[in-house]
Amino acid sequence: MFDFWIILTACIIAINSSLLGSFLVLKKLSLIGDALSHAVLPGIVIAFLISGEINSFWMLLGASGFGIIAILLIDWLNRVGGFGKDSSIGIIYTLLFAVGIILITSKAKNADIDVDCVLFGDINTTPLVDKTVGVPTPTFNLIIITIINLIIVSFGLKGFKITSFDKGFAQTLGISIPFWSYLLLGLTSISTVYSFDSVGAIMVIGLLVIPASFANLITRKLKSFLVISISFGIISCISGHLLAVLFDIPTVPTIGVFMGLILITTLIGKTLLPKKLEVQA
Amino acid sequence: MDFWKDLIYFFSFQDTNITNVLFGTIMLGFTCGIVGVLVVLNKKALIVDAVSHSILPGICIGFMLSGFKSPVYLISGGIIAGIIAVYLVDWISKTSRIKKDASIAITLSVMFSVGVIFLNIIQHSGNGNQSGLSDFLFGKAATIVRNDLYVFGTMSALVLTIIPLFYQHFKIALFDPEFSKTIGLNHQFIQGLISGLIIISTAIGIQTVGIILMSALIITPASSAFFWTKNFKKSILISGLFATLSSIAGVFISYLSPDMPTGPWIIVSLSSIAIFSAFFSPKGLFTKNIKASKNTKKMLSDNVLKNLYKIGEKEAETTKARTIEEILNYRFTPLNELKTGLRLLKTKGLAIEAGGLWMLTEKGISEAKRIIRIHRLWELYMQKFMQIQSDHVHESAETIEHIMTPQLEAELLKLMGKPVNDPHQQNIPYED
Repeated sequence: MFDFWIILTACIIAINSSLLGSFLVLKKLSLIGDALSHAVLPGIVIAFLISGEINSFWMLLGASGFGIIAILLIDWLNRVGGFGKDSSIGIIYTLLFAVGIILITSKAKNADIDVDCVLFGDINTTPLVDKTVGVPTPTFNLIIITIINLIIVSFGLKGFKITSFDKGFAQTLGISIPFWSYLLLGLTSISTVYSFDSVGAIMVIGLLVIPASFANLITRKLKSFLVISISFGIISCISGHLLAVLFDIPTVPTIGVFMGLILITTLIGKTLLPKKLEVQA
Repeated sequence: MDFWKDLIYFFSFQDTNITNVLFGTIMLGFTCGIVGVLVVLNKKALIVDAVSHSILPGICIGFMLSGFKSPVYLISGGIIAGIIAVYLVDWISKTSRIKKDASIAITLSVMFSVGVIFLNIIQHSGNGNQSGLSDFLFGKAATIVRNDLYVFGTMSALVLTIIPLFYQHFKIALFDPEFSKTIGLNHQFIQGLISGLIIISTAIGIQTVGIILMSALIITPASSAFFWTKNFKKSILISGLFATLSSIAGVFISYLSPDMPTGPWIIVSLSSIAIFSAFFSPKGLFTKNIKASKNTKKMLSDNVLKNLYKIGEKEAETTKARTIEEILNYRFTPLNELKTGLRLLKTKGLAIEAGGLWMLTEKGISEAKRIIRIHRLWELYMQKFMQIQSDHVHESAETIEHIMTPQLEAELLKLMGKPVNDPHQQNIPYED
């Protein structure tokens, strides 16, 4: 049961991240995802300081709040401040992350959140925490969020699809591009918060971008893109954990390395194989 | 009082530990700040992120090889890993559909994962020297000792020699890549050189601010510097200065309160400078708004002044006092705008008010004449020299009357003599 909960948690995170990550990659927002995964930290710490517990409702509120603040600030620095997109992202997420670290080291000492867990998460303790209806609470929360995300994405598939692939066409049809972008980023920051204490800031971005990029190598059809991305995420989590147990190394980075190796091998394979004529889908 | 005592002690350099830390941090901050200008101009801001995360496995391997925290081994390992990262980002985005931003995200998370696994192996190996290795994640400026200073100093010196040595090359390649290719500069060499500078400064900079916050030490000071100057050389110096000031602030804050981590405070100081610059620098938002509102006010008062004068011109009685209704009857202006305009004229001493009646002062009349003269001279100029129909010249004159300099006015007069009428057969007023 012990490994089962770890694998289940990882897989749920993978499903969630691969799903949202696919649209982030298609919309070229990968690095905003990166920024979000760091920027939610002060929200998490502040909520923790107020409520005294991890995984509370406050945490969701605080972290999502900071996620939205980060997006707005990046947008503002870029448009009004004239810093340029890359620099705006770099300036804002490091600032918020630094504030988070300062809060942790000065205020939340000896608390459950520590600096290492922010980076790597502690998925291996998942089976040990309190359970809700027989499922560890973090996993339970993740399942709920994933179901919500799946519902929103399946209902809004058309909106996500059109605004990802053909902005001009979307505008002609009167579909609001900012609405769908903000919806996507909002869902991403909520999911990030809940994935955060299991897999840490760096792998949140890995799980968002790598499965989707792998799918990007394989297919050009959105439906198969999503299916491949999610399957790749799930398979990587299972194999990653098994390898980690085998070599006695931490689970989360092993998943990251596994995904990276598969992606790079596929890329090398593609460059070595004679190029087929790509059919425009 | 304690604060001042601390402040004096801190800057008196009596304590060798503090001096080492301060000196090291300033050196690293200054170097990274300067390299940042090249990075931001080259639009490579987020490559720094990939490089800094990727340095972790390199540092771990350096540690495994040397068996202790030898700065030379660690930095060499970091530099090699950084080179791999730059190539990886490039290779992934060149050989596939994967975009550059995604390829940066892939590289940083995969390389960082490798680093975390190495870190874990080292921690389990029972090597007593490994404590403090994870300080590279968030930086620990407080651990800088004399020995580190020599290594950082050498690397900083290297960076600080390369930049002036290739100053012209960088300048041309960054500001006009096409021109630089035309005159046969080796584009790839310069790009490689910039990547090299990023890697070196990142490898040493993570000592103070750590892997995660490293990109800010490079990007933020440079981004702020561009608000203050457009000059390449000046922006390099300003960026270095900002990074230096923030480094001092960070070290000082964590000296005052040992709970406070140095690296994050350096970043918070840098970001504060950036946000301050975005608002209050000459190109900043706040300054721009002030300028804009000044302009609006000037145009408003100019227009009211003109109207007041023109009523008099029509009746050949420029010094007569007028009611607000009269002014409104001459040309409709929203009442609140008119009142603001009149108030502005009053504070400038161009008009005076008595019992609801408004009258131009001597100064006001001459200023009104000047504006109207410019307006009409310009109309005439447009018609005569640019062959523009007389019914099309008003718009342009309406704009230029607020901004034309006396020099330009003199030029116009020289060109056209001292014309009597404008294209609409209206008299051009001159000073008596």
